[in-house]
Amino acid sequence: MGTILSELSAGIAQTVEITLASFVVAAVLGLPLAVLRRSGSWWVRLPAVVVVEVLRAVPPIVWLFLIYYSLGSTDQVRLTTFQAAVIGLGLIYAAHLSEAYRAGLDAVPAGQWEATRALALPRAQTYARVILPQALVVVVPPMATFAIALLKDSAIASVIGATDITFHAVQLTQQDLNGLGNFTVAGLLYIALGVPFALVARAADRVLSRRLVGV
Amino acid sequence: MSMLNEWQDYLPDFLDGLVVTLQLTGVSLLLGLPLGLGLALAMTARRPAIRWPATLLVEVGRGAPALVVLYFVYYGLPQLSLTWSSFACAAIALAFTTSAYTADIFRAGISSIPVGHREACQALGLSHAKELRLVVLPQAIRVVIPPLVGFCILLYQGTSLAFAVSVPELLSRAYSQASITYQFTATLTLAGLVYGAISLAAVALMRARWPRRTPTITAGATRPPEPPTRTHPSWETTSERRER
Amino acid sequence: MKYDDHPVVRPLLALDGVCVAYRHHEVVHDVSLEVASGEVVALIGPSGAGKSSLLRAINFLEPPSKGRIVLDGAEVGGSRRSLDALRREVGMVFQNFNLFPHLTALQNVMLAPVHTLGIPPAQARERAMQQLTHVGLADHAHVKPGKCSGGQQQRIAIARALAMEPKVMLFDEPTSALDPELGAEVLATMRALAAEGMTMVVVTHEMHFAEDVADRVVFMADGRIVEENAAGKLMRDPQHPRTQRFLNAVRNR
Repeated sequence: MGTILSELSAGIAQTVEITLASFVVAAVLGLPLAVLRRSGSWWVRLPAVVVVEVLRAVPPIVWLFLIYYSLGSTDQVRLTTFQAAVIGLGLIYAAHLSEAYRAGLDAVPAGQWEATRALALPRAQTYARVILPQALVVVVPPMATFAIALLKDSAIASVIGATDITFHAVQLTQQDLNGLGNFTVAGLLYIALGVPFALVARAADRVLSRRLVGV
Repeated sequence: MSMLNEWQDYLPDFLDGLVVTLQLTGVSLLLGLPLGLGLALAMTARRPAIRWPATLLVEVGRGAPALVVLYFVYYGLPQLSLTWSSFACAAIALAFTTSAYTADIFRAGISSIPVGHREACQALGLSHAKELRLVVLPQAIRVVIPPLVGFCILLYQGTSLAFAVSVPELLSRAYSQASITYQFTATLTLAGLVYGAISLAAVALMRARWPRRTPTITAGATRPPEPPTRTHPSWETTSERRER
Repeated sequence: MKYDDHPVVRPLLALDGVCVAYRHHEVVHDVSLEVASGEVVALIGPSGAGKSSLLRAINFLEPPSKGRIVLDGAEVGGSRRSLDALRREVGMVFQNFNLFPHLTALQNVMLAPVHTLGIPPAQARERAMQQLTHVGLADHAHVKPGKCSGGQQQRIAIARALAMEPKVMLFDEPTSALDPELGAEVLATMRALAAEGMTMVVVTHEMHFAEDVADRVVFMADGRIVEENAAGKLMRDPQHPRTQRFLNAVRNR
């Protein structure tokens, strides 16, 4: 068990890096997607809806293949496995996170929007100073849930050759044929890596419920 | 135009692959759903000796990546002197993952039944089994169907992982065609279109059928993150469950 | 059949030193009570007095933490068989009806006769129709509870309990969830049932019902029986100061 762990730990850094980098991409791109999807005019809303639906309708592994083997293997562009994984997972999770953002924005009471309109606050200021600060706390718990899902989906990057935990587990198994042991440890590693996210979610939940009680 | 011509050549092979994909989805559901229901019942059992192992299985099934579970079965079974086809391995692994996710859905459905209904059953002298069969499950099934359908779509997409253990499903066909012709863009786009078209059609059907409880394809979580409301405690419990 | 001149025979239902506790917190302390066959007993008292807990203890929805419950001469124990026997003979009507929303009125009433008593469905159906007719809802047999008014739902629930042909009926604040008009139709049904000689234990806030229909009224406060007497006597001439205070408060509302 200990030796397996030391073998697989070579992949921990890569797994964490893919997860965190993809999450940053997703968090940044997800917000504009959510805002666009709430727009009043359909020609703004439609492209955003199409992007979100298409990103979610195709399996992640197919996206990674498309990005790595097709878009990222031209004469102009050469993507590393890490880059391809981060772009693919980042885009897919931007679509997922836009849902979480949207729920957060919806959770801000209508009266807040009306108040900003009554004050003739510019749209950017409305979002930056009034809506987002209120929406953010609400969004944290579902975001943590998505972070855990992303952590698990990052294992797919091993299929295009990213040297993460799963990749090392496959390599090791092809040498020692101890699939049961190696993948048990790998599974436990993923579960353990998810714990910090769960703790963040719970802490945010606690802050949130305290605020709601305070209202 | 040239891509369309290529697609014409690929299509028969891809459709064979789609059949395998659908078979894998079907077999995984056939094995996984009853197991998921069993696990859900065990998770709500009174005796800790039944509750704990079931909870552990579900948490592991939801906490470990499906790909790792797949490799565990694929590389692990030979160690137990079992030589099963890669299709069987993929079906077992996906069925286990299915059971873990659906157990959580079933459990939520069962606990949505008011306590009073169970008390009424007890007061009428119904046995525990009949209480479940006649009163609890018929009601839970309505709550549970939309998220279950959402999970089915997720599973349909998830069967693409079987590529990693060389089951000749849709993605594998696309990849092997590409490795012959080097037309990665054409093959993978077609595969993506087939996956996407069926997923989107299923989502559209679902939304038409259950407009309010809009189930979506949600990564990892089979229940979409509910919008937080003033009734915070219930939201807290469901979101917390999903994290653990 | 009034309490005073009732001959002392073996009671149909006897509670002996019954205590009820939730997680070590006792809410009913050492209650003893006997109910004769055909008698209607009303349990009244302020909320939190332990009336509902006591009622739920009688059919072991909340097993008593101490004490004995004897039904028709047989002590009810913890065993599955004795519990089954108890629940076949004791009907229960809940404050929130607890009808099964996925079944029609008729199916609700048939359920237990078929699946608990093992009566053939055709026969159970007949019996269920009789009970629905009994509560005046034969025309609602094929309607689901969600489409019925609260009063109709509670009458269906009464029919459901009656279909087991119980020896005793327990009512847990059967009209509390209803507005007065709908409550009245439920009370009328219960009144008719009492007139037919059904043995009933009723937790209620309806003082008129307690006074008119019950043979005996038991006043509970703080988990104990404070006073019990023939209905007319207790309601008109309460002896204990706690009872007087309660009845005054209720009447002056």
